[in-house]
Amino acid sequence: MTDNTPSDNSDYQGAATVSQWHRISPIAVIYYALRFVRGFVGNMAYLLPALLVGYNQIQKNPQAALPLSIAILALIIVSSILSYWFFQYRLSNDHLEIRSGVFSKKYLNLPFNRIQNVEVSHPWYYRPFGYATLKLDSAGSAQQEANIAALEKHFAEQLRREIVRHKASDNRQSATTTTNEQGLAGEQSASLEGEVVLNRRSISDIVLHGISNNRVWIVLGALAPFIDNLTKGIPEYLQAKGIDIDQIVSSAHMPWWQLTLAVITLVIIVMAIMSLISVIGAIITFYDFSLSKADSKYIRRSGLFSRHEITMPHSRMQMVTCQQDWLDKLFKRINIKFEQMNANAANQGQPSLSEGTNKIIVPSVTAEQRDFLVADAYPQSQLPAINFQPIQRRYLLRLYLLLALIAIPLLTLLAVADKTMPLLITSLLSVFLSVVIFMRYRRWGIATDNHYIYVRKGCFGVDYHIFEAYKLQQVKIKQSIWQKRHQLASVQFVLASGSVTVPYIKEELAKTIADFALFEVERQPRSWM
Amino acid sequence: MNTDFSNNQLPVDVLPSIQSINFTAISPMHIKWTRILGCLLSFVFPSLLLIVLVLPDTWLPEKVSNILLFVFAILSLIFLFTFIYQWFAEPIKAYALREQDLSYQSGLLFRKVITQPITRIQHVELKRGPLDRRNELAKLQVFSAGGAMHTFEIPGLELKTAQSIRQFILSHKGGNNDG
Repeated sequence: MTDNTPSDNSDYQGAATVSQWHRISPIAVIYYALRFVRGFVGNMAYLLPALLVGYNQIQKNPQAALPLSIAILALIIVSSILSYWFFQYRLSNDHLEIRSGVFSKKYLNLPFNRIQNVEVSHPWYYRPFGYATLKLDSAGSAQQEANIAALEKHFAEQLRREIVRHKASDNRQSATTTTNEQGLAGEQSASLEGEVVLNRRSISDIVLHGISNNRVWIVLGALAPFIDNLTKGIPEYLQAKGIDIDQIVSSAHMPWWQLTLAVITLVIIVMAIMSLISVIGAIITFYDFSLSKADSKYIRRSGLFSRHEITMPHSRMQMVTCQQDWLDKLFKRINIKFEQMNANAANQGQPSLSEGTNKIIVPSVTAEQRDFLVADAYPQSQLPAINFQPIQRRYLLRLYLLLALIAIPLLTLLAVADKTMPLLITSLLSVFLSVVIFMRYRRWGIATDNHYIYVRKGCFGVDYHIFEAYKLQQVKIKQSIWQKRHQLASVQFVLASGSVTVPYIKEELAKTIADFALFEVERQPRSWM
Repeated sequence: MNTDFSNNQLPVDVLPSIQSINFTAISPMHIKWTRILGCLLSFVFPSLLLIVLVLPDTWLPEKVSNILLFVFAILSLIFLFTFIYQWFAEPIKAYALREQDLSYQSGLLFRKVITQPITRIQHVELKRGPLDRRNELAKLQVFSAGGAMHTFEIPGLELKTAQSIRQFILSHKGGNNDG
């Protein structure tokens, strides 16, 4: 049962031997139990009718509560033990085989060289015992994902290295080897031991990140099943305290400035609470953050409760994004993202507490640190210095016309009807929107040198996207008939990590850049992974 | 950096350009049948509308018939506009196969040209609906690692053309996607 002792594990290093099936550590029962509970809570919406019926029944005969809870507990324990018992893995010939499933059996054979990402995480409940979870992604879909729930920390680490090392040597054998890697070949013997820490984030950095980047939704997302209950309680609570919202809002006695002040105070309080939650979310995600590099792989480690470790080979990197929201701009901080292939595009834009495996985020770095990291990822890139080609003024014209078409009739209507408050709000909103449009126009720009393509965009903040032209998957040139008349076009670059669009540039420029990118892709076969 | 990364000056006029692509229109058969189908479809809902109108009042409760009239009217309009749009947009669809890439052009008001390097194609699929089978046509679906959003489909290819394009893509040298 406990045969995943390290002595055993040397088995797989003699790659040719076919070892026997192993079970993971029994501690995995906790993992499965928690997963069961999480699945249960996650599907609360579907189970709600059953729960309500059950709740009513229990209220009618309370003596049933004890046996029921025992039954549920037993169900969780039995299912976890069964999941644990039927999960077996085997390492042979640089393959990882997994047998799992209680009723419907599942067999997964994952060759090491098909594994895209290896993530070692240390959930909080494993830490006292020194165990870790290993998550393996293959290039395919989410179903091709393997979770080994409990391995001894040391062994998980060893296995990760083995897989990553295998991958690296595989890359070297292939025709696409570049001297980029050869430069590091000397370090290969030292393997992953020669790890260099590129960046660490202190608590203050993370707090800053929490304030400037809203992580509220992530925390709220994790709490989603309970939110309904929380918000339901609030009106009753307020009423019990003798506060009647209706009365406050509709009160005619209150002078308008008092009302305004009250609203502003409320907004500030809400903002403060949100930032606090956001900071907590950031700390949970990024606590003790370190980004290191070993053998041309980036390794990110972070997390307060569960330690997450993400490894990304340099060759997998599709794009580097330097993101700076308006608050980041105030703090003079930048978030860096190393993006790689996005196998399950559905998860895009839905950050989680673990921040997913498809990108490495370095939160709130300073400008010098950004330059250092970007130079490390993309040597010879000229981000701070390069001249961006702005987009054409017609972009403004179109949006302003649209805005005018909506706003002017609305404003006149409100003015005629003599509604001061809505008139004020509408005009403020229009002004705000036109500022937003103008800022977006100002930010958008594109630049190339002979290897990289740079895109700048944003609104009050500014984002820089840099990618190697040869990593392009597809290019689109879009042109409306009005754009055509003025020789303008939009260009969209599709990468494995997502796409970037630049609107309203000169048709000539769009086509030149598209041609350049296509030429880079096509002139010689190079792997994009 | 890479030593195999050279940066010699290239004669600009030698470089192939998107501008100089000669697009091939899709099969006229496909255009014709899309129009016929669009025409038929744009008759379906107006006739349903008519049926509801001429039905004796007692057959349907007034509420139901009102809702039906509304829904059918909207659908009629949608299908009519689709038909008109397709009439003009279908002939614009065109493709071009070059040594290293496949391009596809579409769109009436918003012209879109997608260029897909063949080395970056993950897989291709031929799809043939009943009409395609009748007319010896096929659709070619092209998948890249850019994700489902950026999969595109070239409709109305003659079966033989579609098959040879597929063959060309599959046997294309220089595909090296698995590092």
